[in-house]
This record gives sequence, structure tokens and C-alpha cells, in this order.
Amino acid sequence: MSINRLMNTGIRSMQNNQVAIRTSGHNIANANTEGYSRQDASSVAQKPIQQGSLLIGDGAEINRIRRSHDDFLSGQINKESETLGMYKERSALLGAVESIFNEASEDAFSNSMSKMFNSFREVSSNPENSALRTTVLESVKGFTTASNKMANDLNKIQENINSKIGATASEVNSIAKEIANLNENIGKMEIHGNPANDLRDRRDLLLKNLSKIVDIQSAEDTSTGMLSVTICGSASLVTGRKANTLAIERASSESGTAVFNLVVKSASSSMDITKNIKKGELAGMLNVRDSLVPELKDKMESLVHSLANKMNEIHSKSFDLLGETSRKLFDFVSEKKNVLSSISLSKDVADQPRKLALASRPFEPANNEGSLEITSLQNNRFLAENTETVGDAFGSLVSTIGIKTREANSLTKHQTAVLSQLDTFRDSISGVSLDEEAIDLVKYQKAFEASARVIKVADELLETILNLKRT
Amino acid sequence: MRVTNNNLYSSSQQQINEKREKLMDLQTELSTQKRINKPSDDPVGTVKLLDLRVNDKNLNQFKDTADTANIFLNYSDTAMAELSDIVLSLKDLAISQSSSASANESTRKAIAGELEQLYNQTLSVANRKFGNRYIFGGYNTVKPPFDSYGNYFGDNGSIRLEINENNYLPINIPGSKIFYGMGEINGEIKGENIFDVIKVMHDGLMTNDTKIIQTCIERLDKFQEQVIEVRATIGARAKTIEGYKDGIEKSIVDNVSLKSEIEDSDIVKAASELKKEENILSASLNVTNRLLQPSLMDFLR
Repeated sequence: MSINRLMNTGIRSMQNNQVAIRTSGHNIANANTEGYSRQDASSVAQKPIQQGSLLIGDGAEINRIRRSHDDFLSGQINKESETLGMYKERSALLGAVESIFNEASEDAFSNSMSKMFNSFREVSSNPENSALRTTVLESVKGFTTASNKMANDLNKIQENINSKIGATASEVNSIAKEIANLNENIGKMEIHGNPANDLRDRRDLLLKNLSKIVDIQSAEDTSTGMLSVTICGSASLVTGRKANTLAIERASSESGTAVFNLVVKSASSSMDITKNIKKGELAGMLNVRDSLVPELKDKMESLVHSLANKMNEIHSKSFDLLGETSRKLFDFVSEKKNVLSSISLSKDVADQPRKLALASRPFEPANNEGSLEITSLQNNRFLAENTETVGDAFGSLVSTIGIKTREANSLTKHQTAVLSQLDTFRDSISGVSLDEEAIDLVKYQKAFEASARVIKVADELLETILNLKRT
Repeated sequence: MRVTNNNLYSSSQQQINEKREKLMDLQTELSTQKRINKPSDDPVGTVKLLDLRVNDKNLNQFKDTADTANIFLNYSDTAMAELSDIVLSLKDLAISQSSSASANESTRKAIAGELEQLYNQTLSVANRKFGNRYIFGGYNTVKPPFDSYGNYFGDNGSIRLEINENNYLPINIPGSKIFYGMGEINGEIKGENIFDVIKVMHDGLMTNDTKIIQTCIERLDKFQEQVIEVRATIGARAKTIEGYKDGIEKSIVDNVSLKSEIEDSDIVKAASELKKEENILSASLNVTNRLLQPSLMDFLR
């Protein structure tokens, strides 16, 4: 009977080594799979057999396939990914915002504004001259065009962010659905008590990708193996096999542009989480859309509004070549903060150079006092409670953006380094080293060959016993 | 620490990427020849640049204005020189026809004719145009300020030009001040009206009244003083402009060099940085190559 036992030991050993080799092969095949955790087959000695007073060992069995994985480290990586996602997104968007303020061409805001002032200076030396008057009208138009363009560009950025948010929400939903699916499958597979390693790896990777996008909290129910995921601390995204959806709702912001708000919807409730998102790419996007760009818009609105008002005041009390007065230079819509996008050269004056009012009294063709008053606005500190000129105000805006962008870029760089350190740690715990696997292959193959030898020996022993009868 | 293949791959990728990023920035700097290509490159420098650009435009405009003003003043001065000559001629005639022995009723009548010409010349100076603007009409530059009777239809507007930030200079003198001697502020008659003087002299010549002619001499002297005063004013203004212009031209040059200091890249420095980074990158790539190659698999048979 014990020869049978011996044979079994050999056979089981061959099977065990095969499993080990298969595991090694699995590691090698997945050496470059993202989020893969190295697996190894752990074997334990079988219970010994009692024979007389001896306890004889009975071979080995593989009791589990272990996954080299550090949950705590994964949690840390996810946390830092949330932060990196936010910084990176913010950095990219700020780069787009700052390019709006790059005074690269003559038509850009500051250039067009100083061109306008100087055209008034030019016409002051010869107000009767129709060509110079026409030039003034053109340069005023240039200024309103630059203002309109700036409003447009800022709005476009907000629109772009909106569509990005839409796409990102879809991504969140597909991740959530997959996690729910995995929850179900992992539950089913782990009934037999063994961990579903590859499925867990996949679920961990999904969680990591999700944390890049939004701040998440997750908790595993160890009895069922199901992972529940909440976002922004309050809204449940995945519970067991069910996934809720992150939906987009249209709303309108204070300035009238459309914004997308984020709402978590389940079968019975919906929760608007837009203001609760603190980390991840979504936080970066929302920060720029809802806080940075509106701030910029406000400052520009206020600058242009004040300047246009002052110039209109002066123009309205001045006289044109026909002796008429009370005309505005600029038309704009002042409700709902729409000055920047609506400002234009007044229809009363457009294409009618003689109606440009430059004089302080009627019928004095060379009277340029109105024009001189306009040019004096360039260095007049009438903004910010009489402390800033228009140049100062614009300059401080540009420098703020430059500083914020620079800061965002350096935060991103720093955080990338932090995350890369953590990734290195993770790799050293869970990564596959081809050299290691190569050695393992050799190890198990030799053991396999030796096990085969055991079977051969058992077989020879049996032969010997059988041959005892004949001789 | 356990080192896996992924460790090697991802750290190599990251380091090489960092170096390439740096190279890209240097390339941008070298091709634009500017150190500042966007506000985040140097926020403080960017704001200074904005100011300098505005300044540059303003200064060049002031320069143009100063030139225009100069030409206008020169023109006015030339006209005043002509007027002075006319007055001298009138004075000569007045002296000769009132006190000289060779003068008599018929010579006086003949000179009266010459006087008409001098009158017309005076009128043409008074209605002098620069381009298509009448320069002695105050703000009224579109119609001739004086009619043939010597009546003034202009005003006493003072045309100011901005020759530097918030610095204004009047460039004209109203005809009423020059030809009537009227003060600019309250229109009171302080001086002589040249048209009146010529008319009186003409009457005197025609009526053979030497006493009247003699009074004209004194009046002509007074008028000449007026003209000299006007020319002095013009001269002072021209000098002021000259002073400002020098300052402006110097500022323009300073501006340009300040701009360049802030904005332009130090080409030599950037080029040598580029070379350095290229070398570092190539060394990195070499090492990476050697690190990634060998694996146990190559040696197991």
C-alpha cells in the first residue's frame, strides 16, 4: 500500500510543480499588464500518515495561489493620484487660459487699447481731418473687437471644460459598471475560499483610474468580497452589484453661460455633488470653470465697463463737426455682466467720422478739448477706488495668471515625483521580475523532473515486488 | 529593495521624458529668441513688458506730435517775419511821406496805391493757411478769419497739444491777439489794430495830412512790438518742445533697451545649455540601453 502512497506522492508532486510552472508562466505573460500583482503558488506539506509509531510525510499540496499585494500602499497611491489628477488638469487648463492673455499680436487687448488712446492723440493735432477721424473710429473698433474676442475665448474655455466633464462622467460610469460586475464575479468565485486574484487586480486598477478622476472612498465587505465605492464622501457610486450613475445636468451660471453640473443618480434619489468634488481631474476642471475663469471675466468686465463709461461720459458732453452732442461712443449691454462680449462702436458714430465728438463747444473745428480729455484717461487712476490705471489693472490680471500657472506647473511636477516614488514601491512588492521568474522556471522544472523520477522508482519497486513471486 | 523590470522601464521613461521636456523649452527659446514666451515664464517680467510696450507706443506718438507742433510753430513764425517786414515798409513810407522834403501831395497820392498792396499782403498773412487750416483763427480753422474789411470772424481758442504725458502746450495764437492786439482773456484792447492803422494812414495820404501820417509812425512802432512779443512766445514754445523732444527720444532708446533686457533670451547661454542638455540626453539614452538589455533569459539554456 505504501508504494501506492509513494506513487501518489510523485504524481501529486508533478501536478504541484506543473501548477507552479503555470503560475510562473502567468506572471511572465502578465509582466507588462497594468495593475498586475505577482502571483505565486504556495505549497504546504500534507498531513503525515501514521505507520506503526512512525509519522511518515505524505507529500505536498498547493493550498493557495498568493497575490503579492499591499492594500495600504494601494490606498496611498489612490490618494496621491487624486491630488495629481487635480493638479495636472488645472495646470493644463491654466496653460490654455494664459495663452489668451499673451499679447502676441497688435490686435491683442493691451495693444489695441493703447492704439486707441494714441489715435485720439493723433486726431487732437488736427481734429478737422477726416482721415484721422476715420482712423480713430477704426482703432476704437479694434478695441471693442479685442474685448469681444477675450469674452469669447474665456467662454470657449468654459464650454470646452463642459464637454470634458461630459466625457469624464461617461468614463466614471463605465468604470462603476465594471466594478459592480467584478463585485458579482468575485463574490461567486471566492465561494470556495480562494481569492480571485486576477479579478481583484482588475478591480484595484479600476479604483486607481477612478481616483485620478474624482475623490473616492472605498470599503470592502470581507465576508462577501464586495467593494463599495463612494465619491466626494457622500454619494454612493457602487454598492455590491449595483452601480449608480453620474449624470450631467444643464444649469446656467450667473453670467448666462451654460454649465454642466454633476449629479449622482440612483433608482430612488439624486444628489448634486458639483460643489463637493475636492480632488481628481473633475476638481481641477470645476475649479477653473467655476472659480478662476469667472473671476477673470469679472475683472475684465469691470475694467472695460469703467473705461467705456468714462469715455461715453466725455463723448456725450462733447460736440462733433455738425455741432451736435449727447452721443455715446460705445454701445453695450450692462446687465448680467455682458459688457465684454457686447461692447461695440456706437451705431450713431460708426462710419460717420464727422459725428465723432471731440470738441468742448460747438462749431469750433480745431477744438480738441474733448479728445484731450479722453487721452488723459490712459494715465488716470480711476479704477480700484482710484488706485489703478487701466494699464495697472490689466497688468495685475496678467501677472496673477502667470503666477497661478507657474504654481500649478510646479505643484504638478512635485506631485508627479511623489506618485512615482510610490509606484516604485508598489512595483517592488507586486511587480514581475523576469529574472526571478526565469529562476523559478528552472527550480520547478527540476523538481518536476525529480518527481517524475520518484514515479519511475515507485514503478521499479513495484516491478521488483511482483518479480519476487516468480523466482 | 526588490527591483523589477517595470521599475527600470518606468524610471527610464520618466527621466528621459524630463530631459526631452527641458530640450523642448530650450528649443522654443532659441527659435523665438525670447526668454518670455508666455506669462508663466516670468510673471513679473511680463507685466513690465506690457508697460514698456504701451510706453513705447505713447512715446512715439508724442514724438510725432512734437514734430507736428514744431512745423506749425515754424510756419507761424515765418508768417510773423513777413508781417514784420510789411510793418517796416509801412514805417519807411510813413516817415518819408510825413517829413521828407521830396514828399508832396502827388507823391502821397501815389504811395496810397502802394499802401493798398501792403494792406492786401497783411490780409494774406492774417488768412495764412497751413495745409487746409487757417492758423490765425483760433478754433475756427475752416473759414478765413478776416474779411476784406479787417473784421475778425475767428475766436480766441487756444489749440493745445499733448506733447508728453499730461503735459499740454498751446500751439496757436488767435488772430485777434496778433492783428488787433487784444488780450486773450478778457478781450480788452491793449494794442494796435494794424488794419485800422493802415486805413488811417491811407486816409492821411489821400487827404495830404502829414499830422495824421505822423501819428501812424508811433502806432506802427507799437504794433511792431506786438509782433515781436508774438514771435517771442512762439520761440519760447519751440524751445519747450525741443526740450521735451530730446527727453522723449532718449526715453524711446532707453525703453527699447529695457525691453530687450527683459524679453530677449541670452542666445549664447541658451545655445550652450542646449548643447549641454543634448549631451546629457544622449548619455541617458546610452545608459538606458545598457540597463534594459541583459536578462537572465539570455543566459539560461
